[in-house]
Amino acid sequence: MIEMSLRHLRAQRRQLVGIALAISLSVAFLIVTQMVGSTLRSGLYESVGRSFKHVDLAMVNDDDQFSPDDLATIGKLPGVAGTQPIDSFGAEYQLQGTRTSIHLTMTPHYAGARDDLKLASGAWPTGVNQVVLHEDVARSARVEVGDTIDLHLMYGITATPMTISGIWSGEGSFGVAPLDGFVAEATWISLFPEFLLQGIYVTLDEGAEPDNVLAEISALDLPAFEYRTRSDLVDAEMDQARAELAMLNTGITAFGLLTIVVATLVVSNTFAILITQRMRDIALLRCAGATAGQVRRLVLTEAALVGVIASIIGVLLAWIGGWAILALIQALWNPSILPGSPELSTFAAVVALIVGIGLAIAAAWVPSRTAMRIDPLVALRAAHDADASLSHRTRTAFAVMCALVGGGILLAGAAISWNGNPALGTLIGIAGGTVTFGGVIFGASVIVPLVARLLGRVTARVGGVPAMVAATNAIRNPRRTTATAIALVIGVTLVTMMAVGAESLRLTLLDQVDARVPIDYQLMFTDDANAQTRSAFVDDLALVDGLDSLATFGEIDSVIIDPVTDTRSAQYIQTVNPQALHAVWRDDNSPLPLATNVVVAPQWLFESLGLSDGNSANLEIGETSTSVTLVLDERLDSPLVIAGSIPELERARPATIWLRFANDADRDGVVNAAYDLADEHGVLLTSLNASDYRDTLETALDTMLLVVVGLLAVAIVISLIGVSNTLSLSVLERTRESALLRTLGFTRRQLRQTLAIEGVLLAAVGASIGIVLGVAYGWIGTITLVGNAYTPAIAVPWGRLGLVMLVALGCGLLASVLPARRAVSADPVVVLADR
Amino acid sequence: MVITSPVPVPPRATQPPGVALQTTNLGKVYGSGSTAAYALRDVTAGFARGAFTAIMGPSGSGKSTLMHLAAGLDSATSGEVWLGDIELTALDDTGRTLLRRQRIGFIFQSLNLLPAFTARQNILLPLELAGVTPDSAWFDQLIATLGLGDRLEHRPFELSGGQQQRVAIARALLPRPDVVFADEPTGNLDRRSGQQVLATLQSMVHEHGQTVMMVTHDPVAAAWADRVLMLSDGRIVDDILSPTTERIISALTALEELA
Repeated sequence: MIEMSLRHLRAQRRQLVGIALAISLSVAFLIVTQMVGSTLRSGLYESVGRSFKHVDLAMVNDDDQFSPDDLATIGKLPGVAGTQPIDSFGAEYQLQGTRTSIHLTMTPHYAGARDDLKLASGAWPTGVNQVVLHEDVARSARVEVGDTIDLHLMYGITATPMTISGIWSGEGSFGVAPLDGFVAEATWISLFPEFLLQGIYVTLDEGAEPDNVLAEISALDLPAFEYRTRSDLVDAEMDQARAELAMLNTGITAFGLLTIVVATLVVSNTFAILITQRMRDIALLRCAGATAGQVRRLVLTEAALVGVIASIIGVLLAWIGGWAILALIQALWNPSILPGSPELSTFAAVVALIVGIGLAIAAAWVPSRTAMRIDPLVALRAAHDADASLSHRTRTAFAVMCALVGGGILLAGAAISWNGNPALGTLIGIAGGTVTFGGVIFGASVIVPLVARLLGRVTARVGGVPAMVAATNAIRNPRRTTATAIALVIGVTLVTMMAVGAESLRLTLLDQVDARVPIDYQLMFTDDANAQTRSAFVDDLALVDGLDSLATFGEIDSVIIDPVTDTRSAQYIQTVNPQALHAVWRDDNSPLPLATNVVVAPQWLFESLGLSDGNSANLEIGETSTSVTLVLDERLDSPLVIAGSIPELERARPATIWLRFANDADRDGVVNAAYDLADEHGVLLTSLNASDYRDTLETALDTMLLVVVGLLAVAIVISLIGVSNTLSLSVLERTRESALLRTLGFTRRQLRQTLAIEGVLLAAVGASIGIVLGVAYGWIGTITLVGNAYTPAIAVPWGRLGLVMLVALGCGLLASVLPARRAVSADPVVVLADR
Repeated sequence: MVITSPVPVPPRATQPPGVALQTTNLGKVYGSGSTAAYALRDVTAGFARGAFTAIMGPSGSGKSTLMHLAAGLDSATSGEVWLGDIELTALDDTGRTLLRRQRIGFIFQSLNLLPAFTARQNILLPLELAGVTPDSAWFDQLIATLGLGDRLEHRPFELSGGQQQRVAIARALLPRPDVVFADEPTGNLDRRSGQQVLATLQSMVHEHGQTVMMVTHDPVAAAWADRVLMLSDGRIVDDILSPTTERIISALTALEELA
């Protein structure tokens, strides 16, 4: 059996390339997904191990704390090389109007540790006011060796000027907590008693016995503590990381499995075609005395052999791929947690091999049954195209049922989300989506030929005779066309769904933050400075080059009272100079309805008072009470009144500043100048701008989309290999027809065109169905995900969808190149003469 | 005995209207040196317009090769082929392909038709390729003569062997080509259908002036032609006008004895 299978395989070498490719790619991808997880894990393990290199013991104490004397005493014990506090302390520095916090600790006693912590330049701090900083921190703070930096140690109110004595390269480490620098022991001791020392790392001398040292430590008068060994510490760190990595791994593996599913579909279709082409051979076998069971075993054995070979290739591909990805990651980001070579466990390789062989056999299962049923008489008859007469009824019924049930579940999921439980709703939605997609797959044998016929008709009308021939060829075997298209539909649906979902989500979230107010830029004070300091800053800010105008919003406590019911609402009220506001407002057509004795306010104020637009209320500021009219304007966050209209408003403290840039101003330059001014005046600022949020949001969504599409890319490539398989095998069947066409006047070029159009058509059918489904799923998905948190916006990213279609068509074209070559290479004479 | 065609070969520049196709010193060699196989040697023959010519010979005689070269399906290694005033042998593959749309028609022994197309679509295909609107009167007449009226929308697998051949004939004749080449057109048919096909071909020649060149090994089929060319070993060895079945059989037997 095996010998016969091998002979058959060798005879069909070329036809099997497509199958082998699909299997090896999907197996390789599956392995790589596993490799990523295990490589990350072991890289992390190595990295954590390195950080605890100098730690032999840790003494941990949650209730009480150690003192610096304890540290010194333990350090002097025989067998102890050095001690180090586990806890670091925080410090802040200010730059450009913002405070950045860093973590510092004491310079290690132990020389071995100091040597490992490579200083990039300078020396370890000796004086009380010296500090060594991590080179990244030094860069952000724009300081070098010898410079002074004002540090708020332990977030103190006053800053201590400290001199940079050295820059730390960041190598080596002591424990895994983030560390940004070191101070001298004297500085560290000066932080007590405010500083909490709840753990001590102990480094032992070489050859020292941990138990002896522990005994001696226990003999000391120390607060009660627990001790941990190095492996305890490493394990604790790893446990947390492991959980996160496991989740990541599961996610990526899901994509790997999806790819295997797609590959199985493709390979199954190709096997089916091959069996059809070998019908005569198989019939002859049966004539010669082979039983149906033997035929079936033959087919399955061939499949298994192909599976073995392809899987081995897949493992090799994965190994190479692993190296390539690792090299890429290190070239791009150089993270120090990755090991030097990719980790491929024997277990993973064996599992992948089994999966590959299983894939091949599973794919060949149904075709083997077809082969089994081939009538020996077929050998004596000429074969012709049979129209696929499936039992359409049952299939269609099942498909419709799945679609309806699944659709119902989807709607239920959306409804549950709307009612405030988006998590549950999403879960249900995913179930519904899967069921509907199952319906699509069942109904594919009806949907795909329909779409193919439609697109074919359009193509035939637009193109010439080659298009007509291509369109006819594409639908002459509906079962084959369906099987080919389905693989592509899966990939395209998922990609489209992600793209549509990302775009819809983006619009939904942006709708919330969108510049409801038509202004260029907003700054907000975040410090505790008084009104004078802030005003002084604003005065200087107004003079900055590139700034056209600014409007300052003052803020003051107030109470708004409904005169009728005496309901009170206490909150900050804002004031602004109307001329200044007008100057920065970019939309003259819809200004804020400010007027004397008018308070413009958003909906929430009305709701809290139980009033409506236009009602009167009393505005109490300090001692004075003024009667005002409340006007609704949803664009504001808090109530607004004209500055100076009430004397008490003089006391308002500047809170927010709206800026308007000059037409050709360098916006970033103006903003930087503003932050520099903030440092000079001692105020802290933050900016709230839709554009910043938009950028962050878009980057995040784009990255996610890119990753997902990347993970789906392999599945799509495999489905396009399926298109190529179908075409090249169909060409083999049609050698006589192609020769006939050439005889009747088809030029070589027209014959190639026919195949190109057929490839593009197949891809177009799969892609268009996938896009339609993807858009529908994307919309429902967004609505379900968002729930009632926001008003969902649904979008159609035409650009991206167009790209997907273009890529699919392009690949369909590419898939036809080799088959087309094969079609025209046949000499019509030779083919036709062969009767 | 080697006999050349009774119709004198005119000089190249002036082809009288009487000759639809002319081969001059036509030769085809496969391979080279000691392994060279001569399929056709120095064949000069003129095929009269409006005549039904049959080409016969044992297998290996070169009859199929002659047809292939005459039809422009293959390229000659020596000599020339003239279709009217066009030198076929000087054209490249595309040039010869274009001729096959309207000026040359084909009928094969079997598997003549594109299985995915209807009879009508098969018949109209060459003209569609040429981008020429078919003559609907001629189309109707052909369909009527061939008795295909109720079969036009059927696919080949829904037609009998004889019907398929008739569809092939309709396709070959619709463009009114200079020459129709038929390669063993009755080989796969039963006697009655075969006779029908041959009768149709003959009537097309005699009533509509179509030139037909038929390759066959069947003496009964060849007797339907106006002229039979015998080939042996790549050369013309006999030329029979107004052939009868007996005459052809005796000529074939003579060939056997020569070998």
